[in-house]
Amino acid sequence: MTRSTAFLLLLLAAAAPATARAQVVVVRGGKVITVDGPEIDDGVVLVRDGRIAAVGSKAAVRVPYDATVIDATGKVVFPGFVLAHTSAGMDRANESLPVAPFLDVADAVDPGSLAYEDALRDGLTTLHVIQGHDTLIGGLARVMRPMGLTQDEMTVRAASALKLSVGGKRGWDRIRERARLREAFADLRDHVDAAAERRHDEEEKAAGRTSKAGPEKARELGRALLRPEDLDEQRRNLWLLTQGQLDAVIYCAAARDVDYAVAMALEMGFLERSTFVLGGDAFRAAALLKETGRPVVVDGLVHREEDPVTGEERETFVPRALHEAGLEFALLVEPEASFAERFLWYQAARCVREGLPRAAALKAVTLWPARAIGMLDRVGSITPGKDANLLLLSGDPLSARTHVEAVVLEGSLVYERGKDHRLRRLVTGQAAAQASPAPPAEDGHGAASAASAAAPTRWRVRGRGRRRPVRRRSPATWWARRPGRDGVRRRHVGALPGAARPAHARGRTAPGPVTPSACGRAAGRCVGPAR
Amino acid sequence: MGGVSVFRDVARARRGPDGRLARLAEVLAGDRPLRIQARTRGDIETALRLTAEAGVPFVLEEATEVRHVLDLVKARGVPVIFGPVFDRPRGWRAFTGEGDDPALATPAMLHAAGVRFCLTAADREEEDDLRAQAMMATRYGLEPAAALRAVTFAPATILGLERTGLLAPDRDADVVVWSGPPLEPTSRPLLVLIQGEAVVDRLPDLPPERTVAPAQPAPPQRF
Repeated sequence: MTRSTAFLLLLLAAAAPATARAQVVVVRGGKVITVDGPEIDDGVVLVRDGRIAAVGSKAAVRVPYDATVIDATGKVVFPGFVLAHTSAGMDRANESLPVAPFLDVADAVDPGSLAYEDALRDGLTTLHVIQGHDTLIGGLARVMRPMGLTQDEMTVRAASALKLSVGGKRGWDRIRERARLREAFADLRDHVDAAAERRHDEEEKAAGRTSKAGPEKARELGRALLRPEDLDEQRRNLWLLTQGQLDAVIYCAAARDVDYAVAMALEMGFLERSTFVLGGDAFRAAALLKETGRPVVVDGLVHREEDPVTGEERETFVPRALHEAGLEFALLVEPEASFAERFLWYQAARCVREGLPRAAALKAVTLWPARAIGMLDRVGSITPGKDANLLLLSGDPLSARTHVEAVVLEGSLVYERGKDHRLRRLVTGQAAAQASPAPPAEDGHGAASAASAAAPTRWRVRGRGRRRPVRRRSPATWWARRPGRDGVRRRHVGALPGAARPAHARGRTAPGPVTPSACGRAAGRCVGPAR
Repeated sequence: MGGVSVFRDVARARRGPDGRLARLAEVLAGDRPLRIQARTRGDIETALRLTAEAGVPFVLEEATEVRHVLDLVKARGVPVIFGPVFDRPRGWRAFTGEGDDPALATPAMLHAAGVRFCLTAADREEEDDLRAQAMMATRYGLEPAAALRAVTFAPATILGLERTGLLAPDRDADVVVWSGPPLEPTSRPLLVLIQGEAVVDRLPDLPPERTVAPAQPAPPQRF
């Protein structure tokens, strides 16, 4: 199995005996930042059955004698961060089909992905996994926790929203895009009409009557009777959206796209369930967004533009512009941009740096993203009734020197920094004394785990700059790569029985997640053994 | 290997330096300082060996894997310009594989070993710049005072600049006034003076009732 799967197993194994049977957990002793209430020094958080039962000072909260205690003395207790929009862990952010509402991110999510391991490590306890912006109408998103071996275990809320993108499809100009969007909704309307007529006829037949209604009336009556299964898969999700039964996440690449997106959502009847993701200079439409009252997610904290006449460069810090317009917004991480920007606390700290109040910055990574993904009743603050997703931080959440010491996910202690061997390896460059146990396997997949137990794993780059562990060559491979008659070393296919194909393509013999993403074969290219 | 061989040839004067190698001859003569960029452990060892043969002092640049050879570097007294820090190498470093074995706590290790070092951001920009490098160094074990020295006084001495790098009399007025601890992400430069002239002046923008987060006590380092 992959090392990350082994790591997750180890975490689960460690977590299970500690807090699984205990129904009451108490986190006490530290400074508790509730986010939507006062900061409590020497506070206590009482957790019952994975939910927060009470928060307060030591004197105010009565703790049962048999509660499991998590000691947070000297630490800061903070709600788990909420990431409102990410395609991390998916093998590809978007499909090439512009209108594809029948998709679901669950099909693309790789539970063993390093992205989820890092999410837990960085304190992101709730992730809204959703397609990227290179689409028009995308598929269903899913709220997930960074814990679990299967998509189902990781899912907090399935079918959380439908992704739409205005101005985001690469290579498409706006005329073409708007026409295609109108076409999609017109096509939906035609299919709904046809289905409504069918439903009406069905109902009439079932009741034993013959309908005397004309086609218009039949459709009107039929529409009220429509069920999701009456529509085909291509259109079902879009229909649910227009019926107000699905949330929408709409990306707007520029200010003019916000106009169009709001108009489209209003006309099609899903504005009341929309969240807007702002790219580019979409922050300029802040007044319109304020009128709609819908949540906003910021993709890209800084907007740079060059004046076409003077050539002068101008930089706008988007959250400040939104804050000045009175909007609440959710922050996102940008792992490709720099090392620091992959931390959500860093993005919040930048907001404070640019003049936003600390309370707003802290809400922008907890409460406001929770509202943006429709999970305000469950996550985003330390409030009785919400899920017990807590971080034990070593200091102030906005300080660079603060680390996530422990993570409590729905009442269970699932991460402790002191036991994070892979982080230790990254920080000190030395493998831990005890590495994650993994069954040895004949093929390259197992060699990586065995290598990590024996000696520090050397990462070597193959293809596209992605890291791969150095593969221990089997004797068969060595023989197959011997120098040929002309002195050139090349692969001699069929040198030994069973050596016809490279080891990693020979078919898996070790257990582990068999997902296309693990081997890259779905994309039609073999990039070597999985990590 | 080719570069090493050329260096050796000139050093042993097997080939007289032609026009292109005149600078190398200056280096060997001690007239020009030498900086060697070496990321992997093997390359650093090669640099140490080569310069020992030629008897030439040098400054080590980037030195991603220097933690393996701290004793050798310390013994030779080689200053190290360390950085940038990555959790996973990006861009061309990922492509060549040379940034592949980083350890985020290396600046702390350099400081603990007593090696003269400073930090650099190399080709990284914006939120990965020099201040972010120092900030990440403090995050992974380096004392804030040492990190600040590593981006002010230490690089000044390594570059041989005597007039800057310290807030002290008779030095150039290269001063920055920060809104909070300089290595915290919530702080911003309010006033930047270069040789006494205000290049950045944001002091009037400061809102009247601005509170600054107090510096946190150092958390106990686990590893």
